[in-house]
Amino acid sequence: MTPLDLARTGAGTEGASRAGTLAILGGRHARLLAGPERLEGYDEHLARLGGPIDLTAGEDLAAEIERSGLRGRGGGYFPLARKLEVARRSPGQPVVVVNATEGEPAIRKDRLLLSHRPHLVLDGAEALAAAVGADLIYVAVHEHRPETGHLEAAAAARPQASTRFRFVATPDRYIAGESSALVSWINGGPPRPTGRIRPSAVSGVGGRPTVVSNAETAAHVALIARFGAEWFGEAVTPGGPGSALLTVAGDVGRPGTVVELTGSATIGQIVAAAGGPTELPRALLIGGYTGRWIPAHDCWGKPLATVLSELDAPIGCGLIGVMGSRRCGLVETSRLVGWLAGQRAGQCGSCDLGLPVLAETFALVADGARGRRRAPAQIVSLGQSLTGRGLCGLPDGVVSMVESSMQAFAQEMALHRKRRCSGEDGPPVFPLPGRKP
Amino acid sequence: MRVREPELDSEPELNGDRRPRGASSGVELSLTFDASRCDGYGMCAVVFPERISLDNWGYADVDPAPLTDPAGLRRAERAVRCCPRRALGLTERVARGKSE
Repeated sequence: MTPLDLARTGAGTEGASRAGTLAILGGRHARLLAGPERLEGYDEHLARLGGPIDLTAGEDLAAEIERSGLRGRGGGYFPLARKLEVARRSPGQPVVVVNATEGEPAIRKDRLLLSHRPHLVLDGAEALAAAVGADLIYVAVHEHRPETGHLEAAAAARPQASTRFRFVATPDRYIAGESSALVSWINGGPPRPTGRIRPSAVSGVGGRPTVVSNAETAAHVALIARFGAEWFGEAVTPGGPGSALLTVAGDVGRPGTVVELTGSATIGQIVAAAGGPTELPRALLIGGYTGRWIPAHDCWGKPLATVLSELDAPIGCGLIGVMGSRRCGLVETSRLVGWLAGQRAGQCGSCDLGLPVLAETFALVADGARGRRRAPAQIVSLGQSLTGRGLCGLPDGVVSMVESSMQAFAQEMALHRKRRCSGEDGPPVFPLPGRKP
Repeated sequence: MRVREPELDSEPELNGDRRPRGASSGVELSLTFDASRCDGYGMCAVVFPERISLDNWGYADVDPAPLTDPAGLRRAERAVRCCPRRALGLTERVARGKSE
């Protein structure tokens, strides 16, 4: 594996792309986003990166992944090497599952990789299979997305593709992308989380040790396999070693812009890479729909790492959602909570019953005309009864997001208690698929 | 970490000072709870109120902390046995070092 100066291989210097849908920030050259600003075919991919990965060197690949410290990019940031180790130690021949479902509606990074760099994702999947001794690679994708077609075509264009990759279409549900729900679905069961009672790495698809990897994580593996752990660690983000893909959404010039962060950048710089705010920003939602709200004036000039540290929050799925001042943060939060409640699996009693009550109660807070005085206290107590009680992290995530909104929008809460709202009517700031208008 | 199924025909201990079956020094037992199985029968909370309570809707709220005394462990075993949906279990966890 020889290091390669990716800067020489095409577009990938600091700044935003011409098309504007992707950008690189942080002081280092692009990695995942290096190369052409369109679908890159197999031959082109091999030529740019200096040839295929040596898949016979499974042990070396596993060791390099361990040295790299790569953490999963599906939201959990769990150390990948640990999953590989558990899978290797567990009985049965392992299976790899690439999770390319990207259920978070405002996140675009995995979709972008599928449509622009499918061979990075597929290379990484093969490298993971070699590292863990897997004979099967499942690729989970959303049925109805155009990017799925790109990925399937890319797989067909590779040598020996048909024996390796099995594509699985997942239903259009947020919870279906959770790793254990995905494994359950592949096993022919419902797309509902099975919890951490038996981790997938121990027993997953067909009872075999299963390594579930996010699409972006697999893409990083593809580059680590070629350029090594040292090179990987030269980029550092709040999520740890290696670059990270962020998605900028909401009231910005180019919502859906994917930014590859290779070092430090301020919130303002990240948003500027997506065309900047379309109006005076009021607040940001950081991480994902179950992330944290923070007022814009509290974070705009600060590096992302500082903001996350102050929020005591993880980078999550890398959402940088911007909400403008003409909107009401409580209304937007209420819409998110309502949507997320509708996405619950419904298998754990406390969440099945509690999350809709949280949504209804928060709707009262958000409704400037009818807001109830006791609702905030009820929300806090509901939050306590929802946290740590279910098989998956959804209720906990919703509660944390709601709590952050009550802090960030304290002024709006006071206004609503007086039956007033400063926000204008309008469509939701962030996409809510399937929501009745 | 493995889930341990309790014996169906074990008797309550009269003497009181019994080592939990399968436990050795350094191993702790704790309750596991599969929330997707719980239908709110509530008998577990009657049997082991110190560690299990019921929420507003009658679903169990289970304390996962290790069980350190023999009496608590017996109550835990009874709670596990009395659940019609087998939502509760007991697991061994090595007291020191990482659990998996």
